[in-house]
Amino acid sequence: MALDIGTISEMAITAIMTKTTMGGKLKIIFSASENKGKDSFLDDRFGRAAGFVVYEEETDQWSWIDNASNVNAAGGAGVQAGQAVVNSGATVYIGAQLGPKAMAVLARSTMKLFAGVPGKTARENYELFKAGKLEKIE
Amino acid sequence: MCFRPNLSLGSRNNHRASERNLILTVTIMSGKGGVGKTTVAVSFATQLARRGEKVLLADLDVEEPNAGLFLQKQRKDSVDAVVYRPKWREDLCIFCGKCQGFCKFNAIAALPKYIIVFPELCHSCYACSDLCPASALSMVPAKIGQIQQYSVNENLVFIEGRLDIGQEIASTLVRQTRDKALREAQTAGIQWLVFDAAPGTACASREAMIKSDAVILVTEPTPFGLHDMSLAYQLAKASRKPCALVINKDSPGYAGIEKFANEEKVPIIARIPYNSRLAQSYSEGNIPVGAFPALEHALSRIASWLLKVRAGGQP
Repeated sequence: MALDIGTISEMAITAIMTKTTMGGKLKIIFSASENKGKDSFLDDRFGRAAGFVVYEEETDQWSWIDNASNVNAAGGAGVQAGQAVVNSGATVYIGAQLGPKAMAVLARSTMKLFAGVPGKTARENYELFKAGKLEKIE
Repeated sequence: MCFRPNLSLGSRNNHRASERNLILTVTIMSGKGGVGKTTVAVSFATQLARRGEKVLLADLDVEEPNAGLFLQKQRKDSVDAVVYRPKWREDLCIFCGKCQGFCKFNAIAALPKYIIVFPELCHSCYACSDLCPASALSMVPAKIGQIQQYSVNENLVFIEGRLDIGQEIASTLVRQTRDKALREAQTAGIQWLVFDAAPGTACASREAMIKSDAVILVTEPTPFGLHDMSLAYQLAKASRKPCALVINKDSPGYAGIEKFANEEKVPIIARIPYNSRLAQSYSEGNIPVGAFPALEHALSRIASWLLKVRAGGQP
């Protein structure tokens, strides 16, 4: 699957279309309280999450996007975390519930949004997602 | 009130009141909320006015202005407080995303084909608008609240800033309300300008303080009161404002405030003993200063200290 084209939105749209039309691989981002790859526990905050772990199904790679600059932001943490999540090029978000500002950002993206189960790891949430057991955030 | 005799207010009133430097501007701050800042500000202003002084009380706690609740007043003037904020022009945007980086208040999200401006986070700094290479963010007016002016009696003017529900940036309205009060004080021959500041140490509190001659920090004798007061004190100290402490709800048993005052060499100029009757009056929207001699005495002490500050630096 060629994702090296143009802008993030094109990447996202391509990925979604690939997924829906060709059963393609997903890129999933989780709000995480620690940088421990698939064993990272979910952070139940979005804007002030410690960071985000990203899982690419295609390569089976886990990566980390740090969110430290937003953890103590005076305001707008949700906006900037939302921006980072969009910039990641992920097609699915699994994690903390979204505040109104973060929601405004992510709702404008093509990303699918799911409420993660707190107290479980990214990997466990991924499995719940694949089993269709996570609720959509709307 | 027992002012120092060599600083007689009567002789000062008439011939110098219009001079700029004769307005004594004081900010009543607290750090912690609920320690009695409004009690002190309102009772101080009304007591001075009763003594024939020309007083302007400005409620700069624009998120929760409550000083007006304690005043019988007539509205004289009401103006909308307006700020300018960016409006995105999709037709001009080249989607470079630079605006998002220019904004230091996280008020802009730049999506690949959409720019979102969060007006409630905008500080009206114009950076995004001025720096946008495509001029796609033009500044447009938005109402954020109201500034109302009231007459309480012939000696007391009351000005209140009131932030609209849903607005998150208070400091702009604090600044506008403060500046209106400063202008009004000039033209109305005001002698005492009293700012009732927002609790805390954020920009909204600072905006009140930086234009005043002195700061009164109201606190209560609890560890929490000490902690938050010490933060507000750091702010006043950093701004090089003469500063004094007033202990409200004073009762024996906690010496933390005194210890802090000794260490920092900041004077405790007045104590208002804990009195449940005063709390009850307050809850009924009434601060009858005359009925509480201890409060009246504390207010006199505050006035004396302020006059000493004006007469020549911090005593």
